[in-house]
Parts: sequence; structure tokens; C-alpha cells
Amino acid sequence: MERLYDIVGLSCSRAGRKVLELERLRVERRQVTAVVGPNGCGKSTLFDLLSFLRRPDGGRLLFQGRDTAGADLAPLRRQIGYVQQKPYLMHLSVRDNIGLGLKFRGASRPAMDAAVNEAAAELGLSPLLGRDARKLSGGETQKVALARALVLQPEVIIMDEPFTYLDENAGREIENWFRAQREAREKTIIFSAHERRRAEALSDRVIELAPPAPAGESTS
Amino acid sequence: MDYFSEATAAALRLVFSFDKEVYAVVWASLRISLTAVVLAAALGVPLGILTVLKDFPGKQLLQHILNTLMALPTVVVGLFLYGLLTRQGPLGELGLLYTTTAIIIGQTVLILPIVWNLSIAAARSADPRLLPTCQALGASTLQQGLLCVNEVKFGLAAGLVAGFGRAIGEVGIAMMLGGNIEGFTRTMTTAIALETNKGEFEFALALGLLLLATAFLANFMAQRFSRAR
Repeated sequence: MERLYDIVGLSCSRAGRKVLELERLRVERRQVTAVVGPNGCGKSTLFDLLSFLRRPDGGRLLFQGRDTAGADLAPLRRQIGYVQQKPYLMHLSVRDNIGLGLKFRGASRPAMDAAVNEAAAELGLSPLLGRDARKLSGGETQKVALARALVLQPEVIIMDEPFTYLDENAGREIENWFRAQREAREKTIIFSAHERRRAEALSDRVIELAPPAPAGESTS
Repeated sequence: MDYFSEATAAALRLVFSFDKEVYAVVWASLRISLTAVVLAAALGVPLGILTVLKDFPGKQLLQHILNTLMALPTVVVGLFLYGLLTRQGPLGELGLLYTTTAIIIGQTVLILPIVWNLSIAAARSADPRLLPTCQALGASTLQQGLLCVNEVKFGLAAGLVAGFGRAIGEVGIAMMLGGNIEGFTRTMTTAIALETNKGEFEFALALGLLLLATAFLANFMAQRFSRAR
């Protein structure tokens, strides 16, 4: 199995307080990996690191076998589709929100429309494409954010607590999407969840994060 | 009291009869101040957004300086620019002193810190998820900036209106750099000062009322923009 991420002795601090400490973590390509742990154990920080939105304070983070220390993060970010816990949609239509990343990459309008239509159809968003994205429900917002990540055809999809703000129906739809992805084995998916049972049901592997050592033991 | 009531009535007659002389001054003022706002926006909005997007040494100091410059006295701006633009000054050869261009430059300098600072405030008021979302989608700094403008456009517009309010009501710069030349560099504020001294109180009052109406309209718009945020 091919390794995508390899993390050794990673640590991250915020305002002098350690928010993440991780001795070792490996993520294999085309696997669905779930991350569980109590509040404050650093799941969101870990996802920011795996999405290359921030750099670690210490340790090594290897991606596709290469050390990312000192690397330009922008090209690495383009291989990741990150869906935040509470996704932010712009003051634009659903169509323009889904196509935003493609627009940033300079895609032509027809190519953008085709990709947006395909992703929207996959997630049942086609009837919403003309709507104002800021007026969607929590479940619809989550799906638009996922579609926005999917159209970029990233190597990895990272989803931070995708079920937290969803009602039962929307939760079931996203669960079905996870199952289909797991079946297809085309993408590497990393997600966090509060419920261990759900994490185990939807993933190939569950990683449990422990809260970092108390502030007094911080080396920063 | 009679004097004041009669003058007010005469001033209102001038306003509502759309007196050519009165409105020529109003138009000149609007033209000068709106041009200054456009220039200050072209500089201040990108600078404000860049200040938020980028980390650089002295960022905190810059913020302190901008806060101080928000209350820049107009005569001080007039004085410095007079020194630069006067015939003996380093830019004297350009022949800009006592022209509308000189007033526009002065007003732009005056309101740039306001527009810059309020653009910073507007960009900071954006949802904290905006920038990580843009970065995660692979946006360049320019693309992040443009999206940020779209997301906080009402806050930015409120900053521009505040800048316009400061420019249209200032007198020091218009007097020192414009010279109050009739039909050319005479603005509402300089005309009010001059006409009052000449005893043309009705004319000055008519301009005062229109200046007040303009300031009211600008503040009304600023509040509408703030509420729409």
C-alpha cells in the first residue's frame, strides 16, 4: 500500500500553549481514515496541517514521501480538498461557490460548468445551483462545500466533523457518499467524528488523538 | 433674529431656485472631493486589504500611525503640500499650486489614512473562515484580495463615504492649495468663509445648507452600508 502522509514527532502550539502532539501517524493512499478524540485534542489543528494551511512548530510531515518543511505550501494545498467543520460559503450563487477553486486555477467557463454540474449531480445539488449560497441549510452548505472540494479532483479529501451540523437526512446522505467512496477506492479520505461507532462504520482505519501534555510541560 | 430669519429665507430661495452661482460652487466641490475619494479608494482599499492579508514587520506601528493620521489637521496637510508645490518648492515647476489638482492631491492625502484604516477594519470584520477557505481552494494573494473585497464591500463603501464626508467638509487644504479662485478653485467651504467676510451672508448660508445636506446624505449612506454588512 502506498503511503501518502508520514508524520513523526509533530507538535503545534498556539499562544504558547501546545494544541497538538503526535508521535507517529501514517495515512495510506486511497484509504478512508477516521480521526476521533475528545474536544481540544487537536483534530482541527491536525487537519490544518494535513491541508497545508499551517506549518508545524516541530517534527516532520512527509507528503508523498517528501518532507514538507520549507516547501512552498501553495502547490501542496492544490492536492487537498478541505471541508471545514463549519464551511464558509461566499456571497455568491451555489454554482459560483462550487466552481470557485476552478476559477482560481484559471479554468474556462465551459469546463467549469461541466465539472460543477457533475459534482452537483453526484451530491444531489443540481436544483440548488442558481440559489444564493448564503441562504442554504446546514446540510446543503456541507454538501456545497464538499462539491467545491470534489470539483478540484484532489488527491485527498479532508473533512473536519462533517456530521456535526447535519440533521438525520443530510447525515445519511453524507454517510452514503462515504460508503460509495470507500467502495470505489479512488480517493484518500480523512475525516473526524465525535461518534466512534460512526467513525468505525465509515472508515478503513480509526486513529485516536490524545490531548497534548499540560501547558507546564510545553517546550515552546 | 429678523436678520437671521430673512437671511435663511433668502438662502432657501437661492437653494430652491437652483441659483447658478451657488450650484457651480457645489458642483466644483463635489467634483474635487469625489475625485479625491476615487484616488484614495484606488490606493487605500488594496493597501488596507494587503495589510490584513500579509504579515510584515512594523504592522502594529503602521496601525498606530494610521490611527493618528485619521485626525490629521487639514491645515497641516495644506502647509506641507504648499511647501512642496509652491514655486520655490521641489515640485514648484509642475505649476500645480492654486489649481483644483492641488486640492485633489491634498484631499487624497487627507482621507487616505481614513480609507486605508477603515478598509483594514472592514477586511478584519470578514468571517475568520474566509481566508483559510480561499487558501484551501488555492487562491493567490490577488484572488484572495478580490474575493475579500466582494465579501466586505459594504464595509469598504462605508469607509469611502466617511472619507468623502471628511473631504467635502474640509477648508484648510482648499484655502491654502486652491486659493479660493472664483469659478475655478472655489469650493463650498472656502466660499462660505469668503462670502461671510464679504457680508454675503445669504449666499454663504445657502452653501452651508447644501453642505449640510451633502454631509447628511453621506452619513445616511454610510449608515445604510454599515447596516447592510
